[in-house]
Amino acid sequence: MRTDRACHRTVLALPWLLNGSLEATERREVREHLIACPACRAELVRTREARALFQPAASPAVVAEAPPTPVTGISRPSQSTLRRLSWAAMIGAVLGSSWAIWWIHSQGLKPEVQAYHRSPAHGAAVPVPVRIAAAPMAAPAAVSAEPAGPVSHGAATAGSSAKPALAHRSAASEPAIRSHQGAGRISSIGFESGSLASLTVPAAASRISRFDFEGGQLSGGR
Amino acid sequence: MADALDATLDDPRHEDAQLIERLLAGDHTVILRVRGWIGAAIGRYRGRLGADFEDLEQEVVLDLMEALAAARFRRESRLETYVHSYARFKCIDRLRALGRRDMVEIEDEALVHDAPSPLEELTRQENEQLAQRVVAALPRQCQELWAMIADGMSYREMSDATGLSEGAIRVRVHRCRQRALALRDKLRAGEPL
Repeated sequence: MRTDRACHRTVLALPWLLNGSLEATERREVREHLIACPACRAELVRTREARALFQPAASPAVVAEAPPTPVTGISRPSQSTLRRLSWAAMIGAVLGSSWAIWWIHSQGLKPEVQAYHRSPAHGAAVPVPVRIAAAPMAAPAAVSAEPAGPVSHGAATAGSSAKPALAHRSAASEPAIRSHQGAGRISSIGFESGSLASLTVPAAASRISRFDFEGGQLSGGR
Repeated sequence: MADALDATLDDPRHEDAQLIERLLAGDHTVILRVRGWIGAAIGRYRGRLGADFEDLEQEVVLDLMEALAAARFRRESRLETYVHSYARFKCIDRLRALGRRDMVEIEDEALVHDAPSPLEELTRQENEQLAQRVVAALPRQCQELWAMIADGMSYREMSDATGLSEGAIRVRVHRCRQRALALRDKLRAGEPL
């Protein structure tokens, strides 16, 4: 309905209609009035022109009303988008792990550092924590095996049938990795809650090339 | 005979011209009729648009009015056909934009399809220089208020930021607008400020 008062209210609200910050109810009221009132539509054009003076990069001919933004100023994804993203994340994790398995097998990985320590009591190798350096995702995942404890090379417990495992904890900090002397290729990779939990490496002479993990995700390697 | 045929052929165009005139003048009956065409065109997307549907419908009406006022309807089809196509195009565009915006914040969705011509570029530079002179000549408070608007602040946020009431903000912004446009017109006319 066109009244002077309605026109006055509408004209005063126009700058905020154009920058998309009017709340939904007011926005719809202003637009309904504009649809019915040619004079206020002319004011809309003038307000666009004024706005362009303060934003010269956007000419009045190009700038339409900004789409309405949520009151919080934060765009929230829709439910359907969240579902799509979660599906995409799951598929990505499956594909990523499958690729990692293929890549590891194709490289014939062997532990670079035979990080084990002969137990003084039993003469059996025990795992030694090593550090994994996290790196941003770029290349195939890699783990750097930096033994944190005593290392003995070559000696001892080759042939142990104990399942050698490279394991790390999926945590924000550098995960620990334990490496047994082993040979051959990684035979299995374990995941927990979507994060890499273990890489199983059969015995002796295997080389671990470099796996980088970030937050439990396979992120780079060589 | 030929005149009668011509008259028949012209009738739809004449009818459309009248509809446009009455629509732009704010004729309530014609507005309802056109909105009915728009509703028919985009009604199937109501579910997908959800709460955005009403906003989109209003935008389509306003944008359509602007297009008609700027004589962008070349009358190669009936007005109803034009309205129908226009509404569907806007709707599909909005659906695509919603899909993008869910993933990333997009501030400027203006798409430049062709590089500006030298004349357009010159015009743009002149407009920029003019704008800079206008803004520089305005009181500081006007510059600050409109800078907040350019940043996307609501009048409520501006009221909180400045300590002025919401009503005072609106009035001051409006007065600044009037001053800015008056300065611009003066500069364009070559008059001293």
